[in-house]
Amino acid sequence: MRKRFTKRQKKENIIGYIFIAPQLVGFVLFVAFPLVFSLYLCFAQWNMIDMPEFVGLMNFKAIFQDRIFWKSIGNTFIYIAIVVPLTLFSSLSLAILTNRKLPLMKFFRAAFFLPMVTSTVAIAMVWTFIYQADGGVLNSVLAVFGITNPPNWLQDSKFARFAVSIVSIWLKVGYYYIIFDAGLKNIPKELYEAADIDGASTWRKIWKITVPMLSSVMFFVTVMLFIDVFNMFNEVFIMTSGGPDYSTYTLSMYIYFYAFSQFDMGRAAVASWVLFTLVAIVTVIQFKIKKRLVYE
Amino acid sequence: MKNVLKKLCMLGLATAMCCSLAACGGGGGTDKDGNVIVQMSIMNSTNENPGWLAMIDAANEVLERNNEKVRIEAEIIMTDSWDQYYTKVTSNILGKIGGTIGRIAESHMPQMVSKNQIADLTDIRDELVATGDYAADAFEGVAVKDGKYYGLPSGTQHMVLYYNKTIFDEYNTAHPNDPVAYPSGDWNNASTFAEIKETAKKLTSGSGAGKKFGLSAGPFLAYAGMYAKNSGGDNIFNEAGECVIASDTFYNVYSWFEDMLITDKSMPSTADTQTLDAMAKFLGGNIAMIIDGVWQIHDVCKYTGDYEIGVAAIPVSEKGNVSYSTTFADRFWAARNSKHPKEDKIALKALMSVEAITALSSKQIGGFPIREDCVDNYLSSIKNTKLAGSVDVIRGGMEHKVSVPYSTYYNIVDQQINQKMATWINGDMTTKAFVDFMDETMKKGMAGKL
Amino acid sequence: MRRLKKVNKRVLIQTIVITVIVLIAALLCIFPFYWMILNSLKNPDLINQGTVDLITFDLTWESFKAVFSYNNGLIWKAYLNSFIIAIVQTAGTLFTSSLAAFAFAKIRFKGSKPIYGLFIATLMVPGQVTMLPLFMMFAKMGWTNSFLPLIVPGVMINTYGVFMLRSFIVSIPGGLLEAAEVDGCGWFRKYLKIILPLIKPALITLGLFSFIGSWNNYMGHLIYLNDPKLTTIPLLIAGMQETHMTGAAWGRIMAASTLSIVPIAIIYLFCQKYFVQGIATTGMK
Repeated sequence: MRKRFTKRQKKENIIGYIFIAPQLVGFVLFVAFPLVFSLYLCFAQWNMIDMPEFVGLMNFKAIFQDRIFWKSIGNTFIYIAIVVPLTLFSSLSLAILTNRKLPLMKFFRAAFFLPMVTSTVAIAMVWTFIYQADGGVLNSVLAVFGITNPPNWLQDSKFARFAVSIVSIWLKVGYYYIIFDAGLKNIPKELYEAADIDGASTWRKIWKITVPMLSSVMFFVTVMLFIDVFNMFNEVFIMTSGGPDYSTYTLSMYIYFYAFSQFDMGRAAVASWVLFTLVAIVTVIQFKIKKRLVYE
Repeated sequence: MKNVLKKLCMLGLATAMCCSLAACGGGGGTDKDGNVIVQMSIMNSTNENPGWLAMIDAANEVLERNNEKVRIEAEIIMTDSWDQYYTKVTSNILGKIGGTIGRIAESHMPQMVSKNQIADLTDIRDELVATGDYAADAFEGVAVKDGKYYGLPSGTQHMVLYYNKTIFDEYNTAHPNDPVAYPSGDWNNASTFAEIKETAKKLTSGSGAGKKFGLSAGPFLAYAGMYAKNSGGDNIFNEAGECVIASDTFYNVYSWFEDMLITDKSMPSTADTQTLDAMAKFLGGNIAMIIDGVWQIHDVCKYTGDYEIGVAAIPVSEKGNVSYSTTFADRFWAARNSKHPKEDKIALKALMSVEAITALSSKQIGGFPIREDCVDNYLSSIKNTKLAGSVDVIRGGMEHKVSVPYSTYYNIVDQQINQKMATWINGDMTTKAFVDFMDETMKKGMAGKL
Repeated sequence: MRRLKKVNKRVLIQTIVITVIVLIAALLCIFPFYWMILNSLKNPDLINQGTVDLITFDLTWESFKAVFSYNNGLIWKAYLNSFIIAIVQTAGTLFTSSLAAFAFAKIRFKGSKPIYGLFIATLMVPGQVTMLPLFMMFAKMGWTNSFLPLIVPGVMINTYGVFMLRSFIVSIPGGLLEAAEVDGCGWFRKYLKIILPLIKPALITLGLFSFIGSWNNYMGHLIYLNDPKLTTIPLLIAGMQETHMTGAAWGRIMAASTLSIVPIAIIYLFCQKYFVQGIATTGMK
């Protein structure tokens, strides 16, 4: 009996490794090795033809005294300040508003989801077209409302960041709407019924039942949003190429520029690890807070 | 079970097929006659491709006649920005795929040289210059490092002022008491900044999408040196190699731009050319004068509008100053790690032959040929177009070259200045502060602090 | 009775107000698409005249014709290439990640737990970190300017896919597999006959994500593809922007954008249910 078991175990060992083989090989080749190599690149300079050269902390020094690097970090935090709360607010309130019987519900849902499945490149072009200073539909509509000197959205450093953020929010709302919607459906109906009996107002029900019951979903969404913003690239690259005056520049663009335009892989690697660190910090904080909430 | 296995096999087969399909191409190899195929990277530009392809055809004929076992094949790279072209060429060189020779803008040459990506072509240069047919000075500059030549010029292209004569004539008919004069085509007696500014102001009219502008010119770093020279100043660096942007010369040049861009609004800003680029606007009859390169001749000479176009010299600060013109010389290069370096050089020599250069210049592509005997051919090809009357002015610019001081840090400096430009044009920054910023950025670049 | 009526009236007013708010939000969501289609059908000369005309559909096909004739019909090539990349990658990733997910969930082999832990630990590594070394690796291998760098990594590693499918497979009762074993089924047959049919909805969801991710991938295509013959839809559209911006070009870009969104929109309309399920479950984790 025991022998049969070990034989079976042996077989399971082999089968298991055969089954995970493609993914395991892929993991080693395309995740583990590049990770280690990119860490090494942080301390090296390489023209990619000859052998890499170890340069110590030179790349770190270069990056930390680079005005543009700090600007892109600053932009990232401004994007977070605009995109995270607005996306959270709009997707959550849409989910709450539609969590009842409404006409045209099918149309509404289809409309909310459409932005997230479309190609960012194509739709960023459409937004560039909408934002045109001269003859763009947005400014033409503003002119109808009597705003005769509307901003030049994408070419003015005071407005470009905001204009890009709006597109970013527009792209994301549908995704988080679905998550909140699913979260709402999981809240037991009895809670609301009990509140109704107590004669609670709609606002009170939202504050006392909906929001607390959704808190774990909200944590998740916030972290996802932070990571989304850290990774912003396509919409910025297409709409403004980071300008004007680097006001829309992101860390991802910084990495792209140094890696594929300057071929300064060392500097790009350092920037990518800064990005990684930011993501890691946010994730760890979320994990800690969640744990504390569960323990209490 | 069988069915599923079959499906899986099909899937695997399809994957393998697609992968192998995708993997083919690249490398070059040999053709059926045993000739080594040397691939040449060129940018995908619908306007210019016919010219470059004609040049390659002519070079191949030369190779065939000389019984060389080498043929050139174009590798068209899907981009029309030099930055991306450089990215793609570099990745090709790394992977030893695609073109082992190619052409690149002067601006990216210092990077290719300093990153050790391209081969030493000094022997070809010496051979060509020794014949006495080639303009020796065109080989100097960005492609030279430690006395070695890493690039061969594909032609030189300078700046001129194109103007729409009809707009001038119409204005003069309407305002007989306050006429405007055509800008001067004499490089030793060019129009002044003040004259051009006044003319531009008068020729500006209308508003919104249909607004007509007086002058379009780029206040970019690459051209700043030309305007500074025309004001009697230095081309960004003085003789001692110090950056002199923060000086009255540059303050005046940029004030000139400020007057037109911000005060008079007689010059289109980036916002105005968002939907239609300046050259398209000019050819559409909505801009009276435009300062642009001779690479535009190809498009300009085929203009279809009901008007006449003239060419003039670049304006100067004061009457009597000699007018200079910023000149660009794009280069041919060969990859350092090529599998067939000897054949690459044979191919490059064929591209520098009289026949190949003639084929290119007859299509008005590539700018002024670097062989003296081909220049006439280039100019006479323009003589058959609507720009026939301006050939002498175009030729005159050749005598007053000023090149851009490209370096390994120049592109980053340029990018940072261009990013700041919108702030200045929006009026959120004074002209002096902007020029000081240019100076400061250039100095940081020189010190390796960007 | 009277009170009930009052409540009903209040509910009705509430519903109307909310419907109007939600309707405005929905219109804002679809306006760019509407504007894109409207302008793709407009006479290219009339685009960007600075007048607000939000409703007139011209129904001229000039812009679409311009897209189809752009670079000698390059768009067909781009469609084909985008499809090849997306389909091969999706098929491959479904196969390898479901196999691995099955192994991690149901086969007890040595090292299963630590390896799975390692997989999950790298879920949050941003793509930018591995992008540079991968680029150098692929360049050194001579894989640039081919579809390989866009397909192979996607097929060979999909930590998210493994993670998601595993959570589905874990919930399949072990009794089913034991019964199959009594019938003499091997592990691969169990995978084919029992697991795959049961996780079909999850596979569809993952397949959709993978397909759309690949179809919309811009940075990867931008970095790896040089040859116009290898162009894909996102590259083609972005390329159109770079060439001289003429009034006619905006119409062309809008038409090309419309064409690029159509396949995804069709897939999406048919599979909305799976999308929603897939995204909703990620939120529950």
